[in-house]
Amino acid sequence: MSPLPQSTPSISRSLADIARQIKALFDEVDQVAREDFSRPVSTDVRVSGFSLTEPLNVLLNQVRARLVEKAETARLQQDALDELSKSRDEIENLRSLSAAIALAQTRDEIVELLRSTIRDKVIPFGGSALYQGSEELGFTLTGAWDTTEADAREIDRQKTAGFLQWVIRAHTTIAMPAEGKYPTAVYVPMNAGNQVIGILLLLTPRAVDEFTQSDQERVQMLCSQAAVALENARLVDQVLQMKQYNENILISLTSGLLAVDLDGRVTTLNPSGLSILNMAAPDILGRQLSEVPRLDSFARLLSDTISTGQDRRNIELELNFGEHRQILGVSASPILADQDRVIGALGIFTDLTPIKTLELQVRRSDRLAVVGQLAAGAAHEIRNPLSAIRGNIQLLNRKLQKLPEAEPLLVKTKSIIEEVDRINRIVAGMMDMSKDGALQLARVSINKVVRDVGYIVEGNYKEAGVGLEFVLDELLPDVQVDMAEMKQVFLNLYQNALQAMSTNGKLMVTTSRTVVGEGKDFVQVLVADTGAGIDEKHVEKIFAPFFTTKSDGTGLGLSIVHRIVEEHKGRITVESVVGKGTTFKVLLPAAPAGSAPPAPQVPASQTPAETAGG
Amino acid sequence: MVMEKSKIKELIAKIEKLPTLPVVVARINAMVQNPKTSAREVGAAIATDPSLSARVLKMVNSAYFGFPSQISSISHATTILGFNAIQNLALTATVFQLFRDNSGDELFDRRRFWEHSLGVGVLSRLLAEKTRYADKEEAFTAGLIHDVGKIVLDQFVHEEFKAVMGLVRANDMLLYEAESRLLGLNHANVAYIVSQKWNLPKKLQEPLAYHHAPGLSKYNPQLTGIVHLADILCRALKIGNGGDNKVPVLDKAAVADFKLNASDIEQLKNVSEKEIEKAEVFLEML
Repeated sequence: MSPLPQSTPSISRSLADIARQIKALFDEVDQVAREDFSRPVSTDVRVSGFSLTEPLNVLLNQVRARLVEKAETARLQQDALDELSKSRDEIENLRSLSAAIALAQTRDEIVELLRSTIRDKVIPFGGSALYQGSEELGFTLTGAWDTTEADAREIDRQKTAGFLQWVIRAHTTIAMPAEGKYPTAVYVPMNAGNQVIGILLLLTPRAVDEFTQSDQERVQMLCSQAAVALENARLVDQVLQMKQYNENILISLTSGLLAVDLDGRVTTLNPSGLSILNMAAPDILGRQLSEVPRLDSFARLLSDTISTGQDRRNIELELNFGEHRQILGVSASPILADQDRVIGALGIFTDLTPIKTLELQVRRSDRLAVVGQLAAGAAHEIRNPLSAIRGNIQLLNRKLQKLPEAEPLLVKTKSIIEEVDRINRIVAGMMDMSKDGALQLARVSINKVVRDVGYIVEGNYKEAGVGLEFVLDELLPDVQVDMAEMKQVFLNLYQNALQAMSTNGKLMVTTSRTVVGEGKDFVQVLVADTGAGIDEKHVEKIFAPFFTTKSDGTGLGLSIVHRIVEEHKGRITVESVVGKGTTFKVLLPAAPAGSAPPAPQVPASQTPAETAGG
Repeated sequence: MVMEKSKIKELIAKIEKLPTLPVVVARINAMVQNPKTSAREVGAAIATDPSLSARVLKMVNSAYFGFPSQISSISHATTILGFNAIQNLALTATVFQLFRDNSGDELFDRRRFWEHSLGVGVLSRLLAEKTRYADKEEAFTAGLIHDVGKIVLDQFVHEEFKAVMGLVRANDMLLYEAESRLLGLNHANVAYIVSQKWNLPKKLQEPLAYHHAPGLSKYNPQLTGIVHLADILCRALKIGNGGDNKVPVLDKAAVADFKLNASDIEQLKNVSEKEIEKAEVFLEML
């Protein structure tokens, strides 16, 4: 009889090892038992703590039981370790899915990551589909992968049967038998927080029976993770869209919009605003508004708005820099967060400068009209007494002419008559000023007008030794003018020029065709002298009534000229350099085709005195 | 009269004569604890008791669950309703069976007792939904069998229990106070013993043992609080009769986390009647 092994084999943790060792031990024991079954063996042989005095069959059973027990323990331990490592795997799955999802940008990436993780690590599946939506608005199919026609029909059938609804209500994963290529359909709700935002459908070859709680829990966990990510992606999308929309609104505004924060720093300025202020974005965005040149009044308005928390509507702000003056119309309001916390201010503004200029022009025209009214009234009153005076003086003059000794007195009476005539001229001029409307328009070339008037003043110019030159464009378009009035204009200009010049001066009158504004044809007349020129500070005022630098001037001439030109829908401007000369520019609109008849020929011998004194 | 320790021990010995749960239920409990159990294994386990199998299938196909199509096998039911739901159904079906015997004297009206148990089951389920407790069916089961201790006392310690009921009638006091006074232990203690003997899932043990003292619950305070509140509500609404006519004091701390307000309670009251009817129909199948 061979002795039993002296030492017990140590039981290792591996099941295979255990099995091998058990088998080896049994083989040994069996071998011994076969040899002598019932005879007790000597007591100094021990196997695993059992004394061999007992009959071997009993012993065998005891050993077997103990070994099985140990094997069971080892198996349980191995199971526990397996569990632990599986748990670690699951945690790792979840962690790597989370990490990958954090990098995913789009909904499609997230869904793809989810599907591949589930397929590789939890439940293998063939076809899959995704429904998205909400409990209130319902769910629609937003994606399907590797599904056949038969699958699609099956999915449809299940949806109609209400399985989707069940899953949504119950918030749990279910596995259902399916007809189609795959025997089982698994529905997994995607829970973001408390809301179901989607359902993932997996068509798997695994039998329904094979599913365990662990499967359900794991796939549910992964889907919840993805659901949160999808929800976030959707919210981010929404925010971006809103942001874009708000930006579009700002860009489309025709008014300027400027916003500052509590520190007075410019946070927003839309393209219209930049163009109104004529600035580039980098020069103003992000800077303190008070530090931007010329916008300090704007800055003050906005900081007032912030400190009072009140709207300021329709404020006019004057922005000055150098010569340039700009007027803005601004409405400012505080920017509120949470209904009462001021976090900044914004101003909506438009450029009022063109309007202001227009206002000034309108006021000037009005002023002139008013003066005209007064003048007409006064003039009318003066006419009669003046007529009486003149008549009497004429009489007196005739009587004195018959008395030889009254000869020296004739000078005086002549002088009186001259002065009375002068008054008459002024009065007539003032009456002309009040003459509104009822222009007698005739179609004529302006060249004729300027030449005719030239004939009138020729004599005076020659006497003064001053040159008079005409450069006339013979191909000028005609204009439509009241001849008498237009002649008055040029008469006045020629006379002023003569007065400004000394011997050897020259007046040059130039006519030409020109285009103004959006392609309107105009006729331009330049009356340029080489006289003393007009002082810079007077230039603005020369067209104003009663403005004169002459000791005997009435101050009405140029204001009448201005009125007449405006009446003809023309423009008159002046440029002057002291010591060099003055140029008046008269612009008159070209006559449209088919207008008033050509003017009757006026004899050139008509004197200025008669024309003006009328 | 305080019971001597030996007398209490005697009582417990009698109680422990309580039959064990059918093997099936115990096996299912164990299986469901193990997350690796497959649905097939659960189905196979229940199939060893054909009558239980039939009853469970009838229940899962009932309007109570409202699944849109016919469920043909227990294993399918498991993957659809969930492992916990099947476990609770099996448990409910079994316990109900064990205590179907309507013998009982006029002092302890078994019928009204079941009305009360059913009410607490339904309200527990409703409260579970409101407070977002994970397993509504589990709450239903917990509520349904929370007073199993009373049945056990009535069945296995009948004479002593009769004396307790007499005391309750005479002094119009709370049952568990009378129990403690006369027997040295109350039905919640008994329920605890039962839950140990039956190896009930841990999550169910605490609601049974601590529904009158939810503060003692450590493992599953939420469910214990739910059953505690449901019990009080049922008594307040006079749904059935739990053995006495008084309403125990509410443990505010236990229910503070539920964040329920008066309108929530009102709403529960309104739906409870209909829900109890539905549950009655459901339990008829047993």
